[in-house]
Amino acid sequence: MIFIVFSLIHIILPSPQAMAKVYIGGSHFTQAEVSAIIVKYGLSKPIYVQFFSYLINILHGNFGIDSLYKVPEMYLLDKFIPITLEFVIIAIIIQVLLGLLTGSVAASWRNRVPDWVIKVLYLIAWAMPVFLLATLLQFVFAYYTKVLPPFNIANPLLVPPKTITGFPLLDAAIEGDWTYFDSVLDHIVLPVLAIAFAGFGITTRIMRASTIDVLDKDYVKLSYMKGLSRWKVFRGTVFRNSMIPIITLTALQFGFAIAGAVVIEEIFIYKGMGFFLYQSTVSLDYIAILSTTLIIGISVIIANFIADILYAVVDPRVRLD
Amino acid sequence: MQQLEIRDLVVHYKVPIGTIKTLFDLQLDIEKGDSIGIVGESGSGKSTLGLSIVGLLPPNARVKGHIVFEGKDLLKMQPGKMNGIRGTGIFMIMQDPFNSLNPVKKIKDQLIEALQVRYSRNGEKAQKGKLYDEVLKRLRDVKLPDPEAIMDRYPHQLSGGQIQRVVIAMGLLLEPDILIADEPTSALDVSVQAQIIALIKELQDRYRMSLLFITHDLSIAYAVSEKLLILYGGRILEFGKTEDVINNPAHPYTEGLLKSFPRGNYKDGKLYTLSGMPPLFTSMPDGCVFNPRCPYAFDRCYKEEPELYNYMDKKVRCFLKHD
Ligand SMILES: Nc1ncnc2c1ncn2[C@@H]1O[C@H](COP(=O)(O)OP(=O)(O)O)[C@@H](O)[C@H]1O
Ligand SMILES: [Mg+2]
Repeated sequence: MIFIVFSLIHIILPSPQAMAKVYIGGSHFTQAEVSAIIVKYGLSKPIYVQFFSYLINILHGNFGIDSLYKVPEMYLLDKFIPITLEFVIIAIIIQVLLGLLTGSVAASWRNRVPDWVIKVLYLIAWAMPVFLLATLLQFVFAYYTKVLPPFNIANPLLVPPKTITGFPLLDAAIEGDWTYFDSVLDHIVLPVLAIAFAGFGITTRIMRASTIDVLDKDYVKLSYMKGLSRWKVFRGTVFRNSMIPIITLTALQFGFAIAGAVVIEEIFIYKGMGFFLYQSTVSLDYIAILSTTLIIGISVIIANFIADILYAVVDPRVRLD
Repeated sequence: MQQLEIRDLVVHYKVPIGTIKTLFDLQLDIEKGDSIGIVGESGSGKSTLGLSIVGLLPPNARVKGHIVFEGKDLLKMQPGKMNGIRGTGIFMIMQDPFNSLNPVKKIKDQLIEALQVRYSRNGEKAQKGKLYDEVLKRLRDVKLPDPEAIMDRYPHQLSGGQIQRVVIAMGLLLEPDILIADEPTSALDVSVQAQIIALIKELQDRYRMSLLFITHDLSIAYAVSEKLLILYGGRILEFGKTEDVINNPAHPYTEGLLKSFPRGNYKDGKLYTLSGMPPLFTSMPDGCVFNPRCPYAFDRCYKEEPELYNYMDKKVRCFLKHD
């Protein structure tokens, strides 16, 4: 994956000579000076050699120096990643809860009013592109009714608390800075809603299908046969079986949500990793693009890993194979 | 004493092409301590009958008639009230053992949950330890080897025969007044079949439950039941004491079924087979349902449907046994 991105960037970028001109002072440089830089950074070596030395470096935690901000890339990643992770994780939690609830309700009242209402809702949310949904939310809640702020992570007039974990809500809570906490909370609502709305339809659909499937099983009949109430049968038997596919689905959706964050952060000027990636891309910030893509990839892999573990915890049949 | 009265029970299934009438004006009385064998070919409506008694028919089913249990009509009952009847009142063991336990819960938790239902209905409370011991005792009753180990297993770690025993143990924990067993052995090996049947019989005697034993196998029904009900195309064709039905079959269908059973005297190598196929609910014959396969059928059998006549302590749906 890293290699694909690495190669793609090589194709997109102008030649090192041109890049050198843009970044290191443009036309003031002589051809000889540019050539010296190219040799110094090994830019004339074959791409696989360059890739290899890059790999060695990131394994040592050295992501290079950002060519735009002129600070170690690691420092920037450290600053932006938690901001994105925070609102994406909150969004995913809301999305899953919403999906489980609506999917269960739709399946339990199959082909009746609740099912139809839910279907219409999620089809609208699903069919709409993320940027449109986000802009609409921004328009309705920020510009039209003015109940929520349209952009930023927190009120810029407030002094942010000390960085401890890097997660804005968490840091504010740890330090007991509730004014700042409230402000972050106000600002996080719209981006979170945008991501959660865009994605919950798939969870609803899979949950509905899975619940209908489980409702038909003999073991559900046997649970009723014991004399348990409808709610107990639902909680103890139906739900515990029908939510299993949602675990894998959520890991997949985490990837989509992180990718979606690029657009969302741009719209809400929410300065996290997505915003950073977007800025880096338009300014051809080679190293930043590589590193953020790498981090996104790694976080998706971690999400899948967690899903596999959870899966085995929830479904005893998986442990054997 | 009448424990369960079924009157004019009619069950339809709604399907995309229309409705399938599956049970036709079925009447049945169950007395306390009865053991009734319900015999019919596959598709004759046996499971439908069982499920309508416990109120667990699939959503596309439509029921009419009365099923009266302890003076209350189950078909008129609120769904919530019906939960109070299932389990301790009526319990049903289903046909397919491989799907009948919750795959994500340990056997012990599923059984303890059942036992708690009984305790809470009797207004008693019990500690976990006491519940556990009682469950263990019942697992011994159903002759499961190494019950302690079984308690900690999940359903996929058990064989079909073991699961069926666990479900029977669950039935025992609930101490139901009526136990319905829907082909509890047809998915199992023959040797296991015999054990399970012997077990159900033994337990029925010991715990004085009424038993409704559903099977397609006349010889199993003969071994288990005191009364026999022959179901065909959603109708009762013959009903009476098991001995009477087996020794003096009154309906041509029962006669055919009995003749098609290998017995001591089939040494000539020939086995009688009932010709033809069981009827399809989508195309029922006019007159008697059995007329296409009946060797004695005459004019009247093709024009009108016989009622269930009284005939020598039995009930028989055949014109030959009337007048
Ligand atoms: N859910 C259903 N939807 C439509 N038809 C059904 C359904 N369940 C059973 N039937 C029909 O009802 C008839 C009787 O089925 P069943 O009671 O399962 O018979 P048995 O248990 O004797 O094999 C069959 O012809 C079957 O096609
Ligand atoms: Mg059946």
